[in-house]
Amino acid sequence: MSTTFWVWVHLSFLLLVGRLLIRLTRQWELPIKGYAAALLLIGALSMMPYQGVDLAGWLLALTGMLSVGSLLVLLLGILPRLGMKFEIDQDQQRGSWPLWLILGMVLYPAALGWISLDTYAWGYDHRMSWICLGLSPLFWLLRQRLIGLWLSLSVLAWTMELGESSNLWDYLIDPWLVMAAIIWPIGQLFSKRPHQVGQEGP
Amino acid sequence: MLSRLNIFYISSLLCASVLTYFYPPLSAPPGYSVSEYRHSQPVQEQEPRLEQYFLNPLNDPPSVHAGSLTQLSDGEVIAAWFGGSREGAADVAIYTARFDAVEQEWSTPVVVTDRLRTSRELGRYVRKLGNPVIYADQEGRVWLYYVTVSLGGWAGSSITVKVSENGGRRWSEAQRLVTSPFLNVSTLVKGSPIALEQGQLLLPVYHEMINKFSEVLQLDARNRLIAKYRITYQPQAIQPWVVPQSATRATAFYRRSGDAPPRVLVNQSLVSSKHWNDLSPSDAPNPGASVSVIRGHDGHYLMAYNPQESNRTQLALARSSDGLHWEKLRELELGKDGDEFSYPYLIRGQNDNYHLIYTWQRKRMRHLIFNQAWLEETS
Repeated sequence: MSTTFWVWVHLSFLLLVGRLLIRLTRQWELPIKGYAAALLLIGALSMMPYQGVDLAGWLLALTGMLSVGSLLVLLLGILPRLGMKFEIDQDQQRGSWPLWLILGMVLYPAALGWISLDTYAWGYDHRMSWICLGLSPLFWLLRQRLIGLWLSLSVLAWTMELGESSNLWDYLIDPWLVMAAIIWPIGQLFSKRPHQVGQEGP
Repeated sequence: MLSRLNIFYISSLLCASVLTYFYPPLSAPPGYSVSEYRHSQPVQEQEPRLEQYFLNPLNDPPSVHAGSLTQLSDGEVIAAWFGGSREGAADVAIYTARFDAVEQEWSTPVVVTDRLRTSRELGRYVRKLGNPVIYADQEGRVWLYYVTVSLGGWAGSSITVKVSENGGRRWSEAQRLVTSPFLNVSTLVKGSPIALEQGQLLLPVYHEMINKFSEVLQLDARNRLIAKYRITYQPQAIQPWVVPQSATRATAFYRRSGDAPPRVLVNQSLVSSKHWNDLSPSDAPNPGASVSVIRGHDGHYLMAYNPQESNRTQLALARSSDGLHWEKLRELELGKDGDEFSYPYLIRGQNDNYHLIYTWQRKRMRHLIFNQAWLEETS
């Protein structure tokens, strides 16, 4: 395992477990410093070995390499809990979920052999990285800043070979991100319901 | 005034653009060109030769399977296979042994890696190991590709690789090949790699989850995956064995799977080698078992296979000029119900010899050396 991928794997563990613990730490009314300390503890835990493999490696066997998209989403969830303001608001994130869902539909059925075309093979072609870099400022200017940032950081990570894959797709999306993109509209539906009920009130 | 986020974004975009332009990580050529295709050559007059060996003692380990062979430039032959208490068990390890051409004997098998060692080297949990493929390239490096599974059965496989710079005596740490976007699962290896130009390799692989199909992976001299090509879609055909015909043409032979007819399946690449035509059933039966095909010293295809439609109790050699019509040359094993002789792996060796390794009753790895004269003796 390369050093950069080791960092990637442990960062993934930290962000994923840290994000999952947010609700719990709120219930415990843990202050910001307490949550930051919990993150440090999670970082240390990720390196704890069990049967010759550290805990981050056990998680890696279950989740595979998390994409830049997933890492960004997890980071955006954690930063406010640390009291840090991030300049990408909800409006600037909204377009990302449908886009990730569409990309998942383009990638996974073809990769699993439901059609003869292999869209995953496009990720080895450097022309795909230029398309991403060309679209990135466009989304940024359209105020879909999460998409713009995600595209440029994904290509940067791929070019620097930070992960274990040489395929650009693996830096853009992963199955967990696409699953979240499938669940996202359902979550939106439920989160809007009280507001809509209020509008329809007497 | 630019915000910190704008500055961060512009920096990342600039860095990505500059690196992509000046240092593109992959510069795969369109298609590929095979450097290792064997022309037929005049076969020298020789006495028929057939030698037979076992590589491992009986029940040590209790179950062995999926052998492969390669020959170094000095003539030494190295074999790799997996063995343990049973296929898929946690104690399965990858073994290698060396054949001394002077002493005419195999060395004691040694464990190259096991599940725990591979777990440590990959930095992730590995549940079981499978099919190893060993290959000596033209630069003298020996590659060992093998299957690892972290989750589920064989459909959850991915490919791991080790390399040796000293003829298979010491091995690098294991590295994974990422071949699938879906948690990198369901890619397996069985067939022999093929040398391409500029130190690249073409590795035939197959996919088993949901749909079964075959692919070839193009690996650069650093063993990075730089392109892949799907070579079958329907009907289901797995365990491809690719035989180069020229620098830009190749024929592939497959184990049938699913509803495919019980025949060895065949297709060919077109001139660019990126596009493969539809599968055709050959007249050679296939019970859903691995086959091994090479271009023989006489220019014909030579295949080791199970010549039955429903079990693996027989093993034979057959010859073909077009890959579709086969003439059985030799019966190698004629077993009874319950016997298994399977997973042949055939290579064209030096001095007009052929080397064949196969699974013998799941208990031992069997090695045959024979020459063209022995094949011709019956035909």
